Amino acid sequence: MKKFLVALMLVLMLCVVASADDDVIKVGVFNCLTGQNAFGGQLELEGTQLAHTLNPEILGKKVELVIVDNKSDKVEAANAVTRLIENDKVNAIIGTYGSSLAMAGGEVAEKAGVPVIGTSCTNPLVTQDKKFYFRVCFIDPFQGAGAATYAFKHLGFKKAATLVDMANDYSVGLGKFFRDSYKKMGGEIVASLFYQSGDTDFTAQLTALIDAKPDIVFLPAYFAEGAIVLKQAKELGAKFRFIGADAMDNPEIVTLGGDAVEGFLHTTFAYDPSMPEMNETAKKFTEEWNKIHPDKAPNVNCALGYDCYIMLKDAIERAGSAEPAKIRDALETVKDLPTVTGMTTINATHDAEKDMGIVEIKDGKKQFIGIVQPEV
Amino acid sequence: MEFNIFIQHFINALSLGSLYGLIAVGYTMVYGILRLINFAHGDIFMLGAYFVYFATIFYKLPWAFGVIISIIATTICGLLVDRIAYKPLREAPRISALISAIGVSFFIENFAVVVFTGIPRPVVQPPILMNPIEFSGGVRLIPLGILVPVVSFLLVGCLLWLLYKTKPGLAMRAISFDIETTRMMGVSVNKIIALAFGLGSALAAVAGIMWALRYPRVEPFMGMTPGIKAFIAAVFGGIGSVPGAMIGGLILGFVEIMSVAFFPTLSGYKDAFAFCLLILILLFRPTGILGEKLEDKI
Amino acid sequence: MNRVRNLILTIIAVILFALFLNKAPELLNGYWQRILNLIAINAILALSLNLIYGITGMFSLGHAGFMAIGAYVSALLVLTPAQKNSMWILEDIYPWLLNVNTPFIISIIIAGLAAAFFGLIVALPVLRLGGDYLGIATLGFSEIIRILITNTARLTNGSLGLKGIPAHTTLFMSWGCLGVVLICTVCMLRSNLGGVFRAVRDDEVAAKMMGINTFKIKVLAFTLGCFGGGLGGALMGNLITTIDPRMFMITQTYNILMIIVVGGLGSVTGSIIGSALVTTMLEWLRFVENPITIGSINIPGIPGMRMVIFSLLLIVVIIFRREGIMGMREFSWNIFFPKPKPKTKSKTEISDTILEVENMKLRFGGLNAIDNLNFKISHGQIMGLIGPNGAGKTSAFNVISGFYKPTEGKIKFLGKSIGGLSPDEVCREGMSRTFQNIRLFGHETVLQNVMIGSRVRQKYQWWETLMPFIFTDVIREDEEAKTRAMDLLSQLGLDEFADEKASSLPYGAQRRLEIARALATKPKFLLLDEPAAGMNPQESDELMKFIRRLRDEFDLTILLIEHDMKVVMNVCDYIHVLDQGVHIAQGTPDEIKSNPRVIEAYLGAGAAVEGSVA
Repeated sequence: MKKFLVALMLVLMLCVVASADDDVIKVGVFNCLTGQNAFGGQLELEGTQLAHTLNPEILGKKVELVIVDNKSDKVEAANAVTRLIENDKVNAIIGTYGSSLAMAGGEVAEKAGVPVIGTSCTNPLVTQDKKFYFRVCFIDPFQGAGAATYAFKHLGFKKAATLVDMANDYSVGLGKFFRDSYKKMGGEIVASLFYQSGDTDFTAQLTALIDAKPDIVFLPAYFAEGAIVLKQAKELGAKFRFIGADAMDNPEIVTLGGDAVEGFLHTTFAYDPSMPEMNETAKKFTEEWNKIHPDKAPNVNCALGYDCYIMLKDAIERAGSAEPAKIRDALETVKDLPTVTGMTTINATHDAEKDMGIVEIKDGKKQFIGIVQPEV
Repeated sequence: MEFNIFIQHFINALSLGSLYGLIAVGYTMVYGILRLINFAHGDIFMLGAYFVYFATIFYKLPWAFGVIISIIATTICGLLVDRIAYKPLREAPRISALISAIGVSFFIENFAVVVFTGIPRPVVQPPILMNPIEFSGGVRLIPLGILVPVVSFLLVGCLLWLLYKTKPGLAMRAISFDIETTRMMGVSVNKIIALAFGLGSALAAVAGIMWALRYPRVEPFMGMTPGIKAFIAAVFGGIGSVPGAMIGGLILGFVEIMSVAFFPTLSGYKDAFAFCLLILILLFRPTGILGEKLEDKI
Repeated sequence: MNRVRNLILTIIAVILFALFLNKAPELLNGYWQRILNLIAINAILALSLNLIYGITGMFSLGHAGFMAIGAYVSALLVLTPAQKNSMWILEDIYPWLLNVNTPFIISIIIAGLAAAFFGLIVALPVLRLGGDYLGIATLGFSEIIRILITNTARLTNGSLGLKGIPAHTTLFMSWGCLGVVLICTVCMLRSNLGGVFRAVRDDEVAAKMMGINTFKIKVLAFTLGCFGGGLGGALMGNLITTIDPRMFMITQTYNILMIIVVGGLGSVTGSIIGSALVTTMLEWLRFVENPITIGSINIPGIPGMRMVIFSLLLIVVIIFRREGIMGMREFSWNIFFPKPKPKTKSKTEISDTILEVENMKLRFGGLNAIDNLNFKISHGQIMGLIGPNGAGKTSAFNVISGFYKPTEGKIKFLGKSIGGLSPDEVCREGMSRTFQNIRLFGHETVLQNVMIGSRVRQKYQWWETLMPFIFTDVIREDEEAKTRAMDLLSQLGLDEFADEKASSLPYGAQRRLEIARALATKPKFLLLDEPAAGMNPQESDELMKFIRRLRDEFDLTILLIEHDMKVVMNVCDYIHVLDQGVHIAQGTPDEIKSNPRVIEAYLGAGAAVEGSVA
């Protein structure tokens, strides 16, 4: 048995093949393919892979994707990026879902001077003081203000409450920015309640919310938790509406939440398969996606994964070189780049400035309602 | 707080608590017999929920049929885990078996990620269980909310009957008392241990199914938090004691719900309340509420 | 001689490794440097948890919480005010915290101390719990710590975490810290105090009787372990450069636990090997998620396969090497050299009422275990305490030696009242005992067992053992203890077994070893609980001679429980008889032999006419 195991190990070791090719542009992808955030990371990877399949060459050179899992774990994220830079010698990196993971990886890339494009890490801290970290997504304060504007101005609700995942930076940040904007506009926050990631029973919080009688509840949750919250709210007979954010944007929300998600609103990036007027990039993305995944509708995570690659391609082409430093410089000057999620411009803090969309779930389907401009 | 809101909280707590209790019973059975903290129990629970998802949504089987298939499949998985990962370690130091349990837990979770992917899946909720009944004063109840505690208590009742009124139950209690002597008495110890694992897994499957009905989604890591919580519940009650596990589960459910109900602004500290209570109980009753006293014989 | 050789070899190894670290940036790329760093940090964490669990035997699942404290304290101390200002975007940071800033080295020491302080606070209440209950209580504390960090955003920035921590954890820093921790741990574990830690793990009751305040020892080990946890967490934070509360979940503790069990529970060497193995294995296995080409077959990469294979390997390792790689063994240079023959042969030597028991009563609930016991023992006497099963003899022993509190009555030892003192305090007064069911520290060698007994008479403090090269009295006192222990062993005819495991000794030798261990505490009064149990007639003859010799050579007073009447009648000067807790007779052996009440107690009513007990 022992001998067998040793032999097995040796065989496995021999399987490690290293390839070195100068005429290849290596693009590292680090994302959470396992662990708690796997649902998001897997979708983003599929988006990036789709973009790669459609654009296998940049500047006439073959592009090779090197995919590394970060296990939704900070230590692993730092290891993964180090591995991409040191072992695989990548020219640029794409990733990741989850801001805390992006921060861990970002530090490594910063030191090595390799540009990274973040997919959906929306925490303002990710790109703060970073020369090499960019992202295709907008950031939490913008989105929190957008949700508040829509709730207060468009829907005319005067009393709001928040239900926030205390252990999730994304949720805590959005909740805070929503409350601040809402109050500035003159609205009243009647309750702010918390839960912890991993909870499945929200009845206590919901019953307390029912007691507080808000018009609308801001729920910056991940979609899997959010759908359960909506289900339980319906069971308890809650009368208020819910509004969420981009992490609720997933086709599965309807299958998970059933009729309980009817009327649910959420802010998101300006892309949805249900959009009436899509730009060219979005159209192409949707068509190609449906060819490969006929039974699965795309969502913003897929789109952002795709956009990262598009933005990287644009930067490499404009720089005329795949040298990391040149890619970085080109990324800084991205302006009005057509991407799946609308026109993308990179601002001084390396965040994407782009439109914010509102989606409502009507008749069991996601409906793209329009664009919101945050006012505060 | 108004009375009707309190009643609503009470019903919520009862339902959550009895689910915790049911998972805790599985922990406590294995612990009582092998003194092993079966860290993989939460993942067995997850498998139970996944099987019912596959049976009903994937293969479109009738719901009741799916439940039976899920219970059988989960039980088989539990037995396999025991056979492969724990049985070779019966004579080993307890920590070895514990690490093996952690290994099994990692394995099942990641295997599920590879095979089922990380995307949460929906679960069919039979409409008869879901139509809310409204009482005066705004208290609402769904039939499932009653079904969960009723089924839990019934199953625990059956288990107690089995433990105290049948031969295999007697053997189980004997093993938990002294495994060597029981072996000398001609009891097939491995069979009885397997039976305990099988029963524990079946209970986990039922809990998983009810959990998936109550909180209708399945995903590979769904067993982690309920697993740890139920383990705490088992310790609350005195690990090794079946009624204790149920009581522990109920206490935990009530603490979680009522702390939010009475202190909504402190809802971020919800779990901290539960842990503080746990530590307090242990300080005053070092072996939990119904745990047997451990005397060190000099 | 060996010592000097081993020291030189160790120094050479350290210098070689330092040279290697110095060259590492040229030899290894950043990825492997990072893994080397992680190995060192994981080794520190594993060592500290091993001290708590593997060596002192306290099942703790709370290490992640102490890591969190260390990581946060260090990060808050090294971050600059400007960084802090820009990072607290949701809540305002406490003004006093904003300007706190210390150099890195100081920050990690404070981090360790902060974790140790919290460890101490946790330890004082929960270490009274045993086994798995302790595990779950410590798990509870670590979760509470995490929840507090999440909720106190003004202090910790909540779930947003901290970032931009300067990457101070260089290879020299992490391995340097590991080096210091390792030297201190090894020195401490090699001193007699290390034996005491292991004694608490192996048999707490017996350790108490050796005069060891086991609670204090447990608190000490736990607190020191927490210091290591805090230090490791601080280094980790400064390596990753960003931390948040979710890094410190229970899985983090699982990882450390995994390392120490794979390496070998209780083995320092094992912790280091385990951390190297687990850390590299996890990274190395990444290739299974890449597309693999074997010949012409292309296997696409499957995310998640790495952890599947890793967990399978973990299970296989545990099943086939259940004690871990090192078991409880340690690395020693001696394995490269043939073992020299042990040669130790040298001899050195070692108020009238010793003990007075007045109206002693012991009740358990409604049961009278002992009802009114009175006796006195004078200096140099050998006294027997006999009676049928359940008479309360062992209970009386347990009261005298401090395991039970008497319900009523006085116990005076050397003129001082000792009723209510704990066993370790009683031992310090000069009393020692053996146990009916032998309680040796089974994993320790025979010599170590005896040396643990002498710890109570040693004067050095625990912190001196961390740096024995400075506090040389540690080495001196341990040498003395060793010499004395060898003497005791040779006097009891056990010297040939000195380096064997106590549990591997034959039964009679284990009994003698227990006595040797008791003698190492330098008692004036010795309680022997059924020393002849399980001995054949020849052995018990030898035992009788031995007991008398004990009294003469060690100037002892002895109280003895025994069922073997031949032993009792031949060896005792005076005998007390108990029956169902009642003191029914006393006298010289001859008086007892013909006492009808004694015969009745042993043989039942009506048997008295038939003859004597012996």
